[in-house]
Amino acid sequence: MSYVSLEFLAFTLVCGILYFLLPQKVRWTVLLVGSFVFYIVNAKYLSVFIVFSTLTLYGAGRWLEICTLKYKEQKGNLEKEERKALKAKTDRKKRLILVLTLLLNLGILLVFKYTGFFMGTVHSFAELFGKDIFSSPLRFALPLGISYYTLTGISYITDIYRGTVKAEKNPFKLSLFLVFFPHIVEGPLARYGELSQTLFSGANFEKNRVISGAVRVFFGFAKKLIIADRAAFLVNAVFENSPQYTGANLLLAALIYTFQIYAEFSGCMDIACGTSEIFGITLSENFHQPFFSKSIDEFWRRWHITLGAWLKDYVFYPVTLSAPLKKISAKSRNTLGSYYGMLLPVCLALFCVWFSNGFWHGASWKYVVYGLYYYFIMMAGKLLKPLTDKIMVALKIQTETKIGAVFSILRTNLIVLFGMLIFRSSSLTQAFDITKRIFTQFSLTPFTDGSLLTYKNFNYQDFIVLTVGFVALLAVGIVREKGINIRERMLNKNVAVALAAIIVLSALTITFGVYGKGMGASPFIYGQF
Amino acid sequence: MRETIIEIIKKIAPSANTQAEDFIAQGVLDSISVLRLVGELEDEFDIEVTAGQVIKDNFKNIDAIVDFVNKVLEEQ
Repeated sequence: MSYVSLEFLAFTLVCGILYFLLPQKVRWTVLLVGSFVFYIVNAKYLSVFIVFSTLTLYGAGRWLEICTLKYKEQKGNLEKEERKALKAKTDRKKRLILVLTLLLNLGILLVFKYTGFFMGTVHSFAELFGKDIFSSPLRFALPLGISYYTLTGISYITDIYRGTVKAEKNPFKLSLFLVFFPHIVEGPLARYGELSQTLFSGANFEKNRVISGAVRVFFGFAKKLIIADRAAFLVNAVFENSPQYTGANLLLAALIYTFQIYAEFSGCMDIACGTSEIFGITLSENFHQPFFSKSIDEFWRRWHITLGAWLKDYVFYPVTLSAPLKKISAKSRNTLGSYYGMLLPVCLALFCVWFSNGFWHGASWKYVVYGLYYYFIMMAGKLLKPLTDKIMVALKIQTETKIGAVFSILRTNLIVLFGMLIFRSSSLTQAFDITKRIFTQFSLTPFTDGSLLTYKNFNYQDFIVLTVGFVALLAVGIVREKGINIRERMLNKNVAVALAAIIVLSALTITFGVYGKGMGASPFIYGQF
Repeated sequence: MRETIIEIIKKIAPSANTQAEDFIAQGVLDSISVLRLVGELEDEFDIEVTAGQVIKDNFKNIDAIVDFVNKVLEEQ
């Protein structure tokens, strides 16, 4: 059952009716049953793995909490030294529980997602020495959302270990937190401390909130079916036969792909967050007008926000604040000064962050290179910052002007475009080849003979629809960037305006969307991770 | 302590508005500035900060940082 299907709308409607009919205290059970139905329909027998992860996280969470409670009970009667010893012993035990739980859950993810990759890499390496090992690498079917619920589970257990959240006492509630159907396919990655505040509260029916959520769901449908799936025709045609195309076509395909993935991923987030809003549940936002970013750092604070935040909290800070790196940091700050001294551990921690980011996206070297592409750009920016700041001052270049802002935005988007090119390419070889040909085989002929806009299953009419769609998205982005909440404005004016928006979005999706016999909605790109 | 922390923040981010309500949301501190701040706080107050303590609530503004340092000092 895809998010962009009539079945999903009907499913959400049924869940909604049952949810609001039941007493407030037990409403969350509707979401639990609904989420498991959704999961089992999609994942079938592989559903057993999310149940296993839930049980391990539940057990470990409770165990950690018992350790903490025991320590708190006993410490009152002890002298300072004895208290320290008991704390150290408790910490060791808690660390062991945490590490075992992480190994178990990450182990499942590694086996399912990366076995084929590791075997393939060993095979390629062995071939260099004339050996034939793992010539047929094992490939497993992935349990739905495993990359998402594993990270969500890791944040849950780590937060309990750190003492920032309390362990959930009800295993079924913890299960709902992990399997909640709007976020299981593509996130956003949830934190227990935030999501639990609304997930189990059983919000009452509020007309405006339900309509607001529905508007967002239909906006997500429009983004996916009108823009993303139409853009996919051009992108697939070019990337599947890239040697046939000139630099201009290749550059256009990379540009269109950047918009495709944004429309698709943010559209899916609109469906996820809108559906949750109907139930009175708040999911974290994953996008904040990323294409208005003036730097790559800012782009990654606005794009896939929950993954960036997860990596910051569970990779970046733990690495930089680990004992060995703290020692290095203290020494380097003394010799290199506060800024460059701190950059040394940051350099290592960011490598871990971006390697993880790339590797999380997929079991392929191209994703690793995709992550490291951003790593090198960010590190270069940080290393050169004192120098570039001085140059800016010396040349009296004002970065805060409108022209400066436009230049920074264009530069950022150009970097992103080449990142997306790596992301979409079938291999690193193709990514390098396309990049090279964009610069070496760029001609204006496709602009004059019409071949720039004509591809297999894609003509100039599709291009017009896409252009209008992009302009509409840009307009919405500009309005949001000014801090205006469009749905709130509509509802404040008149509920009828919001209802009209739903009708218009539905009509546009029915008229211009890509669906029907032989043209079903393509799977969400991020759903594959 | 409050004045010392303000001095540290000014050293890390000279143009920062130390009276800001939310250092993170208002862009006063990014992740690297937070790390530099942690390093300076550890040196200045002889405390040890763990990754689990580097959360938004502890570094939101001057008041939050003062409370956080006091809490860590008490625990240690």
